[in-house]
Amino acid sequence: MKIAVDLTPMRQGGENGGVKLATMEFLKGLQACMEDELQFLFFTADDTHEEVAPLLRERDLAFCVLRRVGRGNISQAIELATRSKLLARSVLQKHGVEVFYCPFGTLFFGSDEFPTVVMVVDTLHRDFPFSLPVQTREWRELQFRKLIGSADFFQVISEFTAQRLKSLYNVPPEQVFITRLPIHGRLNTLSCEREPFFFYPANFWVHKNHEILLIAYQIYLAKCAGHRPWELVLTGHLDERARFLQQVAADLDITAHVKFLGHVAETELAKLYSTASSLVFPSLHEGFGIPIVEAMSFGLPIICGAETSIPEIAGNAAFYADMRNPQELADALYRIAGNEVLRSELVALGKERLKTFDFSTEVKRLADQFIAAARTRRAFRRRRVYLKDLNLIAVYYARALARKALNAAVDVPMRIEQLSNMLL
Amino acid sequence: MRIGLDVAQTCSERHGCGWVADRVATAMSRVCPGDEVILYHQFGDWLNWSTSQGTAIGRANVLAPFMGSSWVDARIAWKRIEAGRSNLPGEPEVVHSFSFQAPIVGNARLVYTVYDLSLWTHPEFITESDRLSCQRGMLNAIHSASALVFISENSRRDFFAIFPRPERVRKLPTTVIPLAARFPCVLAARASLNSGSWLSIGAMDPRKNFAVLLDAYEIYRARSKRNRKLYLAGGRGWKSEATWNRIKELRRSGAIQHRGYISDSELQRLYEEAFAFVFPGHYEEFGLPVLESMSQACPIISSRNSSLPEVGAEAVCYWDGESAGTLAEAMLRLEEDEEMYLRLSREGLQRARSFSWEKTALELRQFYDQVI
Repeated sequence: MKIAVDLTPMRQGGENGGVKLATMEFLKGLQACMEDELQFLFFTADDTHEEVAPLLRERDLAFCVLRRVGRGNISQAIELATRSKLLARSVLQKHGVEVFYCPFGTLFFGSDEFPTVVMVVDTLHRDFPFSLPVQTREWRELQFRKLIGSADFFQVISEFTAQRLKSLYNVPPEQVFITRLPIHGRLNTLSCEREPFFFYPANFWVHKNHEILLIAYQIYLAKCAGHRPWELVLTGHLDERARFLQQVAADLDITAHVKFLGHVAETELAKLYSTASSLVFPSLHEGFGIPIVEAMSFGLPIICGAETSIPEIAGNAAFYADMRNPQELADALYRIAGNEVLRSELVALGKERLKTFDFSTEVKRLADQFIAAARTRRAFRRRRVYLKDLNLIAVYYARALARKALNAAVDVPMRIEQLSNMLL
Repeated sequence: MRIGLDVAQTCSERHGCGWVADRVATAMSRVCPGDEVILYHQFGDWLNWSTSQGTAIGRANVLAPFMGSSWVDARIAWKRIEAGRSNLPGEPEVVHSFSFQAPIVGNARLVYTVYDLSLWTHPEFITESDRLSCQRGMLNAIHSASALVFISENSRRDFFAIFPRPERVRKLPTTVIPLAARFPCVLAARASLNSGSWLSIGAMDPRKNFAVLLDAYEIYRARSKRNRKLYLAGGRGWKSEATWNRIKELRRSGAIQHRGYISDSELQRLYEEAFAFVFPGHYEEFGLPVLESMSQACPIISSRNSSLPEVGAEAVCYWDGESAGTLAEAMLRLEEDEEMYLRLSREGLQRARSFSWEKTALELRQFYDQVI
């Protein structure tokens, strides 16, 4: 089977968050599962083209179809629209591709000729809109509008996301299938001494809720007066928000106890999981929650909130607190750090729960879906979809460019941006 | 002294923060004629399309540099201030924020108003967008404020429970300023049981606990001989579907009256005519309705949580929030016990007289001296 995979949205380092990890693991898994029956054709961008190399077997092909001209959605999309789209299409046709797979949830290339499978990891821009800049929110909505009605199958990563897709976009259930992400197996457990620190691996996105964690940790430190507190270790791509949070940590007088390690490679990540004493997971929005299964596999107790997909994944094997309430989170940190019995109970529950996850089953389900997708004959609906898309795209870019021009003149504050958005 | 006041929120619908800013500015300009009061109708990130509805004070000691300026001009001006390339217009020594914003104010000292901590202590009562923007403002204030103003002791307690550690913040000068009622006190307390209905006000948010009030009211109605009506005033609010449907149902039976938005003068009349005011909410940043009810000599049954006992002191009949049954009992008792009813009316009025915006403005003025 020939599967074309759109990897152009992939970024260097950890900027994509869990999606990139999931994608790489699924691709590797598919190769192991389907072996010689499978041929991949990868579409890549120039800055991450090299990262695909380890996946390339003799029969696979990689086409670099995107030269990243600058930062941001607009430059990326203009580049795609003008230069690479036709090229990519001709490749798809020439090689007789049977299925087109878009694991990053965006559909740049016309998919009308080929059955298309899209991975959707969350509906953050609708569930938690204020955590995103207006621009990003509209970009994601545009991507969803283009997907709905064009893609044949939606791969989601939890029951929660399946539900959201159904209630927000009315996607028929027969088009949706769930593959969960127990991809902890890629990390090797090391036998290390445990060290007293809480660990939170996450990019510094607003919905990851680092503010509350820092405030709560500061309360926890004050509670620890007299005995040695656990430290707090954070990983994640160091962007502007990370710098803001570092400032917050300084303002809270906790810099000496909090480490911002930046994006770490997998060996380093495995080492952190092997030495940490607890996972703290204050995220307010997840499509799955990879760190939960990772913590379970490394024998860490988990502190998390009952938000979105998190309880579905963590089940009874976690210590729950209201992650919008720093005092409650501080109490949780204090209890976990001070109670070894509770910790080992949680670890045991985690080990038990982890048995219900098996990544090879998930890969198998994905492979089966590809086979089913390849059999579907596409109805010829190209023109209609195209007109609708063009309209959406035109409106989006008109707004985006207007906003960009305004932002170049004056840096528009959030409040005005929201007001003006209602008018536009 | 040159005093800068953030009146940005007075330019849009005036409730909460904007309303407090308006009253403080007006009183301050009056009681401190020797000081210069500079009003900022565009403040930090809080920029307005139009400033025409904003607080306007026609006094010689009042400046309003951003009155009538567009948000674009204001943005450019604030960006220059932020970059340290210019001072705030009017060159104030103290700048007092009333809108959760904590912008950089050059060499002036930033005084920051902390209304309440419910964004952290009761996050379930606030929308996500408000929660995130207040959180951002508060964290900026932790970084840059020179002094903190609270509107209740309860807020000050909550604040330092949430920030027990940062040395700089713990050393900041703080004060608590009481708010005051929107309308003048009536001349005399009540002399007999009023024939009016029960009154409760507020948007139908979960925080106001209207669901329990409706339960209590139904129990009351089944047991009361007088069968007073219940008058509710306030908008639809947030997460209010269930409460709203019940109100609609009860309205049909004629037992309940409901009004949406009401003007200040109408509100004053409601308090004046009501039998008593019931306020069963989960959390109040100050409890202004309690104070306003006292100013009209209208007896009060109120929850005891958050800042409510501070404003009500001994002049309120407290309900401890156990159940609708006990709230109904409190209502029935107030109806039977004329002596208590008259005492609450008398003591409430007396208490209301001790609050005034002039007094608050003077206290603030003294606090500014301490800050610089």
